[in-house]
Amino acid sequence: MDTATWNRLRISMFRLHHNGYLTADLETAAALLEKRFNYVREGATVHDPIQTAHVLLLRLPGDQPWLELVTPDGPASKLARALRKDGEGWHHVCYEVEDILAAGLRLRDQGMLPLCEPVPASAFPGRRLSWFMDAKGFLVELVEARDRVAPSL
Amino acid sequence: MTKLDRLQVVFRDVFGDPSIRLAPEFSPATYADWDSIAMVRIVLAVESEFNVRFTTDQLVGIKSVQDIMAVLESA
Repeated sequence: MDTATWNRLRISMFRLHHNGYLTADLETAAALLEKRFNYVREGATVHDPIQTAHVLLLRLPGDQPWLELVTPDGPASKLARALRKDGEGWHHVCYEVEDILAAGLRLRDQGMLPLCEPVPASAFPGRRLSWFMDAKGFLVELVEARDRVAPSL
Repeated sequence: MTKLDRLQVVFRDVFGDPSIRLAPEFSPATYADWDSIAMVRIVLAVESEFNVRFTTDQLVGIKSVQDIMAVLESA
């Protein structure tokens, strides 16, 4: 489907899944979110060896998108340099898509470069994810939808 | 201008550094400002300058100027 058709139908191939926040300490960050905003943890901390990260998903009661806390899994983690250089803060936006290859081509055509081919997502078993970045450093994660009805963990 | 000369113009423009002198071994390991954001800027500028499109495999495989030149020479 071309962009004009997507726009005319007022739909998008992208559905906001989560915002990723980079932190040096998952537990401290999670506790602050719970206390300040009443975020609720959903599931346990997951180690993603491909992403070299520990991740924890939280969500506001009744809300759909998650907030994903991410932290390096060690000094050699891909996230360690970002944490040293830029400190804690918003790291990426993740969109759930039905067709990760088609969505990737769309982003490529829109000035974003893939940082890798789709890889298995440890935090979302059975699904793949991929990463894209634009020239301003906007980092986007794509995760395959588990079903076609609504975003799902 | 050779392809390397044109590529040098791209790098100087991306980094705002007219003192850059490209060699095949020029890489993120030898130039500290060459981070992931700079990589995106470099690739997009190279694609525009040379009218090429890197595959994902080629993008992931870029470790130095030599890798970029290999893609340009094979295009």
